[in-house]
Amino acid sequence: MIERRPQGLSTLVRSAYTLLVVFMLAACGGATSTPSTDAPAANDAAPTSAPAGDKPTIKLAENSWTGSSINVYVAKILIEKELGYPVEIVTIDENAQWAALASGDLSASLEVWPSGHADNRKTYIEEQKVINDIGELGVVGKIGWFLPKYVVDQHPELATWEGFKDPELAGLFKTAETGNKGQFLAGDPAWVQYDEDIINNLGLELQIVRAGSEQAVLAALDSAYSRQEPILFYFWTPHSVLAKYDLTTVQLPEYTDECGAKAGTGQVDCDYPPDNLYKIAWSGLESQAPEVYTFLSKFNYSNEDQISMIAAVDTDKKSPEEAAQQWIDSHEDVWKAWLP
Amino acid sequence: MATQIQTMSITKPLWQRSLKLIVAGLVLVVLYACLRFIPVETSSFPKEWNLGLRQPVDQLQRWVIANRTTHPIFLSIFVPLSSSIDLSMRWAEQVLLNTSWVGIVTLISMLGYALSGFRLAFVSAFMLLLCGLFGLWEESMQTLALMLISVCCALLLGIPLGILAGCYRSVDRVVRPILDGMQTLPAFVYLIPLLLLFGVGRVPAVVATVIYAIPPVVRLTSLGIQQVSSSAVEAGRAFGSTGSQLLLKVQLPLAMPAIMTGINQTIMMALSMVVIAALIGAGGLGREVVMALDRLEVGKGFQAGLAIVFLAVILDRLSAALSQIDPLSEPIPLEERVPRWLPSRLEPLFLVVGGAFERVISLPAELLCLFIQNKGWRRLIRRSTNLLSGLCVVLIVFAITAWFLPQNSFPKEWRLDLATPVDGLVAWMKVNLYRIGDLPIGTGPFSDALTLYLLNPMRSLLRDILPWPVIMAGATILGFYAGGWRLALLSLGSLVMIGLLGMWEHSMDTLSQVLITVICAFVIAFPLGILASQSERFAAFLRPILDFLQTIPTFVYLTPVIMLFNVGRVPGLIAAALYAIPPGIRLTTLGLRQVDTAVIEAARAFGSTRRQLLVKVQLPMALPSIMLGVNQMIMMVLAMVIIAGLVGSGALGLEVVTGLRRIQTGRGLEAGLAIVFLAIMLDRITQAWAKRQSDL
Amino acid sequence: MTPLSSTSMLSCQNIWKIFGRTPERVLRKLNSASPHDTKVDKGHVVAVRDVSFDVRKGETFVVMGLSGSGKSTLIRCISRLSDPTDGRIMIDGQDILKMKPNELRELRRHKVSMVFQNFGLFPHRRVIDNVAYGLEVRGIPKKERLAIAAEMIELVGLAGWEHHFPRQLSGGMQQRVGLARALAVKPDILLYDEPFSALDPLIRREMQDELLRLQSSLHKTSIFITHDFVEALKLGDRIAIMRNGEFVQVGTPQELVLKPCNDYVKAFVKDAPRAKVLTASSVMYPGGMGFTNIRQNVPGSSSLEEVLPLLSDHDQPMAVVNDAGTPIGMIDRKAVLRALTPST
Repeated sequence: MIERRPQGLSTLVRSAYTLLVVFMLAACGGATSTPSTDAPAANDAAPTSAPAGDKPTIKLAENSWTGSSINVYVAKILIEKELGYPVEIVTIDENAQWAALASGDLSASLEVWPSGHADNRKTYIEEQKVINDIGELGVVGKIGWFLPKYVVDQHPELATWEGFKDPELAGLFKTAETGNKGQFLAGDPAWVQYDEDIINNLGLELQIVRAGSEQAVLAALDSAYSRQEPILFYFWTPHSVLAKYDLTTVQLPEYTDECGAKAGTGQVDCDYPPDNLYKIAWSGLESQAPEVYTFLSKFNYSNEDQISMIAAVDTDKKSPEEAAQQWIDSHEDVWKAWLP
Repeated sequence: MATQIQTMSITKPLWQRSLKLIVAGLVLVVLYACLRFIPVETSSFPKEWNLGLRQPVDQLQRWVIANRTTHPIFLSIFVPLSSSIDLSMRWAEQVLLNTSWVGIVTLISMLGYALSGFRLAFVSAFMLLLCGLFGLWEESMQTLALMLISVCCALLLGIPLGILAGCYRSVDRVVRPILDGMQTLPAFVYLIPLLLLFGVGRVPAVVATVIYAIPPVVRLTSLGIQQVSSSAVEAGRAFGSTGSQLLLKVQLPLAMPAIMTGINQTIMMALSMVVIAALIGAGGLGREVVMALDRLEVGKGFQAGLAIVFLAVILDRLSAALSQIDPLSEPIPLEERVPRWLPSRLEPLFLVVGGAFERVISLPAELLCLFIQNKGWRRLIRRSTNLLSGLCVVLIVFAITAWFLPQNSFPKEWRLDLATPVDGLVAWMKVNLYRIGDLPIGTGPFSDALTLYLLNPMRSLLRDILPWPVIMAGATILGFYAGGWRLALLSLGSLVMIGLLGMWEHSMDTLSQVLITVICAFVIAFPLGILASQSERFAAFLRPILDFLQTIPTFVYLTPVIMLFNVGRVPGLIAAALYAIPPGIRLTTLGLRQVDTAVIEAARAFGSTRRQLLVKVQLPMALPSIMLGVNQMIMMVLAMVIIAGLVGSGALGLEVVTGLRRIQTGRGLEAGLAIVFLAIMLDRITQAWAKRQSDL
Repeated sequence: MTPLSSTSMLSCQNIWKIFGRTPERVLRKLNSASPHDTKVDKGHVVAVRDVSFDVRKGETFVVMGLSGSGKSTLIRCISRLSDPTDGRIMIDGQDILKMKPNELRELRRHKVSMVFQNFGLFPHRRVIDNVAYGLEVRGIPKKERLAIAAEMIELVGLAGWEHHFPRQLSGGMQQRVGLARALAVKPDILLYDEPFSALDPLIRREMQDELLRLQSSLHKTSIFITHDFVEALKLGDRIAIMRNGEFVQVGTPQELVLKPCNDYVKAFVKDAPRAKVLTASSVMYPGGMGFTNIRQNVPGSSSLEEVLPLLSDHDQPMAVVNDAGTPIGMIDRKAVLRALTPST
């Protein structure tokens, strides 16, 4: 060690001294520097950074997937520019957002998947009436059993559920965790999953392994795909992954309302229903910012609109904000109709 | 000493010495046989005995949701608390982000210079610049702000609490188990409740960080006060100090080193929450890691993780330097500071340049002394030369940047890309390491073997084969053997609670994974620890790797681990083992190094070879420390149960994750408490065991 | 020898100290019957057993005993660092056991001061701040207390070391700081808890001399605890030998050496430097006049060490005179030799 050590001064005095200096400098730095021209990460824009006037800040929930980010940025740009409300984007878990919306901490969330939120819907929208369903997003989602196309190319029987009755074919998917049966990778525990019912009731030679998170499923898929190995997993469209890998779904017995009604009894033996994604808003938003409420209620576009922006973000590596702006610039006819 | 122990125990025949164990084994076998042949279902804990904790917790949660905006409790306590934390967070972020990056780098590096010296100044500046080069400047500042505010909150709460616990036995007795719980209850369990109580955004992240980070500072403050030498305290009392005089003039100053260590540890704990805090709305580096995880961008996640490591190193060194300031040290004369590598003919040059440099450095202090007459003040100023010159540099840099540098953020053109090579490496590994050639070697077959030959048998033994009364009896006997009837009761009580929580099967599954993980980690850590104790060079090589493993967020390497080892119990095992190995190695090395030199010399004098020395003297004497290492490893692995749940381990980890993801706090809490009880039981048993070894 | 007044400065009456969970119950049991073992009931230890004594103003009272004899416990009771189970301790006519915390604090700040075995210095304070501590907690203004402290440091011979930290000082110097700190509050009573037992023999002797020097000018009432019999003989005006919590014998050094009351005391006395301890008056044949052919007078307070050379020069007996020069007895070679050989 060649540096000169500070001497003297009891530890206590010195630490107090140091703290004081830090604070002094912090204050000094804040005062002398010019205001930031380069805004911090957009989701942290403080209320002070937007010209607020007397209009309340609208807080939109951004969930972890790209589609959600895109909806939110389209809405943010339009609300700020066309309606003049300041908007703050809050990154939050899709389940946690319900409690925040219920208390008004958040104003709205723009992409809710019905399959994942039956309980929340019942509690907050139907029972407590603190959150309003403000209509469909227009995008239609679908949960299903996915597998890489190269597997079906080799074993065409696996295109439908019947193929998985054959122990030998199902055995292609076996792992150390599942022994002799094929592995079915279930994902994020937040989602509705009838896979156990389906497997039992249809007599398939599969066993579920719960991955615990979407990320784990994606990592497993990426790994298996790169080695061209079979893998079978729970997933949904629209999702950017479908653009990245060549995937296909297993055809399950068609969904009927009777079959859907058996949910919770362990008797489900059919495909998942299509998910009409919808939007939700804090019930107080209507009186707080009626224009925004109307705008968000009318907010609606198609799968193609959203997928074009998802591709821009995930494949072309644009920021969600840029992708949203690009779409807004070229689709004036669509969003003009949303304005009050 | 080792030979003494041996002769002592040889006095009794073998069967007599292990009598206790034989009896215990017989009891277990008989119990097992009875339960097997009595037609009662005993493989799983009776469901009727469930405590039913879930319903009231969920009810409470529903009540909170329904009344949050109206009830006076929230309006008068949580809302103001929340808004003041939010305000200070925003303030800290604004200050850090509105200050030019040059200013911040200078400030922190000068702080390092004033506290320790050139080396720390250089290291901190270099690491901060790397954060900027990764394109993570704003994120780093946000994380720094989060650290600043949460550590301040933790200290404001923790130090007074620690003082109370240090001064009053009764407070200590109440606080201690709560701290144990805070440290072992997975943060995932209380994320949702915090979100409900404090709203969305930075506040619950700050609160979660505070909860997780507060125990060390409380513990070490109280320990520091209790450990103040009784002679100093008695002298203080004998001269008629009042309680507060004693505290302020004697106990606190003397406890300061311990408190400083506590602060250092609290900072490190807070940093380890960065990623989890990002799950409930904290921005910054944690969010980068989470987003990279979502998009399988291993390289980007690695950069963000590395930035977290850098912040950790800077904060660790700064706070450690703060606690190591020695009021007695005299300045080392320049002649003694000539670096060894310097050629001797350059020495005069060094002395001239160095002397001139020292003059310049002492300039501010000397100038200030011109205006001050008071002797005491002058002494103070002369002693803080470094601080003053650092301050001057900072002020000058701030002034310059304020005038000439319009942009505060790190220039976009300066980039260092580590992500691409890392991504390339991962892509190569998942293809080439998973299975090497057509042979059954590689990470994939390795993972299968671990599952089939270790994890599966252990799980079926604990969960399916052994009836629950046998396991409880076994744990009770183990507890008794390690630490007497109190520990026996504690072990039994913990297991009964786990049963009553309705988490028996999940807990046995988790326990099997924990045990296998600890065994694997130990098998790796133990030999490495021995090697490190024998070779200083190897130890020096290992040290930065261990530091890195302990500070880099696990989330960063989850994706490649899954890619290499498949979804299931193995990736969790690997991640946990990586996290648990460092303390195992450290404590093994420490134990071996701490063996009394007199004993080693004695053994040498009797002609032991190096191997004999190791096996017959050092290892037996290092046993307590090694056992402590095992204890630490178990605690680390338990802390990773939740992470394992995110990558397919199932069991308690998945239960907690499900509780979080479905907003079922009751379910998460039950599983979380089961982890706490497992942790308490394993911790106390291994600690008692380590103590027995050292008492021998 | 210091002049002693007859007024009692400190008086201890029937002090009991019992360690354990229910000391009061054990005490009641012991009061009714008193067997001679220290172990009473499981988990209880009688550290001090019914000890009474008075210390006169200006006197140095030494309590000597081996480790575990209860001597440290006794002095800790007197300073009330621990409370006795039973008994009365009177200082200046006040029972300190009945004092409220604030009265006790005042007592410690003004009247009673203590020197500790392991010095008990505050490692985080400089020497001068250590010495000023008692004044500081009393609320004396900084300037004044530093002046007093500097004076005390000078008094114990540490001038120039004011701004060092204790750990920069040697053991002997550290205990000088402890001494200065105790003296700084100008106490009436000084309690020394084995102050020199942690020091090397040479330093210890130096410190003992230092203490005698200070005592000869300050005349503080002192209670001195030690396990070293020679030290006790050297410093004490009166000495109490303590064993198993009880005083075995109390007396002046001369009384102890000449008339040990039992084998236990005898064992200590055996190695005592008798020539240094015994005085002419303690071994003389008492009686005013009546001795013939006396040519030489010796003062009664002179030690035999001083008398011996005279006796070797003169075959004749010598007269022992008091301070006023009046003969009080006679001393001869035989008397001295007999006194110097321990009786069997």
